[in-house]
Amino acid sequence: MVFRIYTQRVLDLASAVGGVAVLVRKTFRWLPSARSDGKNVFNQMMEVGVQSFPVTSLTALFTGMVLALQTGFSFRRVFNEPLYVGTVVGLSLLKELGPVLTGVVVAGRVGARIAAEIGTMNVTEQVDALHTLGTHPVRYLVVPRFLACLLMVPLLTVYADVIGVVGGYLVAHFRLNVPSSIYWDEIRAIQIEDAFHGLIKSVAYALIIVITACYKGLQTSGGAEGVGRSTTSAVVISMVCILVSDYFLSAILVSLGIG
Amino acid sequence: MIRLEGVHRAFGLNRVLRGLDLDVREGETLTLIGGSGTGKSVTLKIMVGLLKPDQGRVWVDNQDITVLDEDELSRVQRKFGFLFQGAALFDSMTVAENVLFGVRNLKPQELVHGDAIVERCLGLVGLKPEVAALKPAELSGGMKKRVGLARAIAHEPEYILYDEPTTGLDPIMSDVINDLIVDIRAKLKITSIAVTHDLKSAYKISNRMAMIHEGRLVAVGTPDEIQRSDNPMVHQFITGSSQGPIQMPVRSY
Repeated sequence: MVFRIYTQRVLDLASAVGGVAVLVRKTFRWLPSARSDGKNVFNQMMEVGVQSFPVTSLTALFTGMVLALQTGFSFRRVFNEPLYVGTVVGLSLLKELGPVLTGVVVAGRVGARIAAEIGTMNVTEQVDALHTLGTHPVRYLVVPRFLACLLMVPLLTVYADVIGVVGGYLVAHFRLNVPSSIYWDEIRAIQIEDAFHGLIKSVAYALIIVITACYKGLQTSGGAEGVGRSTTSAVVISMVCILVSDYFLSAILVSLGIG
Repeated sequence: MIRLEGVHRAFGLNRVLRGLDLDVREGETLTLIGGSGTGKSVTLKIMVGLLKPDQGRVWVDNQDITVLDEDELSRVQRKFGFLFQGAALFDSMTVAENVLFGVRNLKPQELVHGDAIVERCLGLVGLKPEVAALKPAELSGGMKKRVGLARAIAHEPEYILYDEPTTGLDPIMSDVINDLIVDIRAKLKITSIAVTHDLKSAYKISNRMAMIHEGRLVAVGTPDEIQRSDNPMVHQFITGSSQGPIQMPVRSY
């Protein structure tokens, strides 16, 4: 009995991995069609990018502030001075916290919305209707969201990095009395590879979020309960994949000398 | 012409279709009747390629659609209009955008006459042009079905499929929809296949009726022949009796 349950779980996992691979292949196949669907892509970019600005700003601002606070007080305890606050805030945000926190915020906000929207369309037969009206659902539903996430998540990450660094500066300067010139000199000393390190990660997280959400949405069945299940699992899977892949991406990028 | 040969389809352990054979003749309206869960809606979705059969063949105009790739199947699907049970209108679009959705994808050159197409299709289903600017959330159940029908016929399909066209509507609105189905067949000469539990509707719109039970065809004939059928399953179904060869599992508490 236990063996059968685990066998079924392995089969389900294999089926899901296969399903995701097929969805990725179809998405790339329909990618050129986005040229004639500019309005839809633009609307999705607004939804993914512009609508996520406030929550991303708030998250990044307070993350930068708390980083500066913890670093400053810890270093003051050890060295009697709040040293390297700019370096720690800048590197932490650019390489790790900027892309990861933006990914988690987008997974919670945009991933949930995509899974719920496509899932609802699926259970109300709107996805079937697309087939009978001459449009492939991947072309109409997945490609615009895919492009929007791929373009906007890295932009949001850059934006989060900037806001976080500014938040760090506010605490470093006004709370820890670090001179402005020292903080900004430390930020300017950060290598461009460190910024690339974070940007490459943000592209990977965008892929994880959009493909997971679209796959879960298109697999939805069972009415409102099914939509709820798909939405929850899309968010949970995206977040877990972001956090797990963060380690492996970091290891690969560091070994390649990128950041 | 549509032909199903020995079609099987299961969902997990639930074998819905178990060797269904069915012919749909050109220009007719064939209605599929039968109890809940007997595979009527699944049959409709298999006809249009939305579901693939596990076994068997489905011929649409002498082309076996079970062996087609995605692009070839998409070309066959263009021959169909589909009125879904809940109308399946796109919530984010207006009525006009819904009606023109298929035209935009299948006959983009006709979009220059978009307003005229919307007006003509809404007129065919008895709706005024003012409805065009409304969103689906602003429509009643009957109006949604009519808009769904307008959308299904806008790209001038060769076949139209109706999944429970009168379910959830009051008797008067049901009869209005029945009249529309008859009217559209007369005006557009479209082959139609409907799935319904509503026998009054089935008698009114059909040239032929086919009864499905446990995934197989048990009877087919004109509405008169079905009403006079001596098949005990057909008799039980059309009289709506709980006594007879069709046993519905009832859970006791």
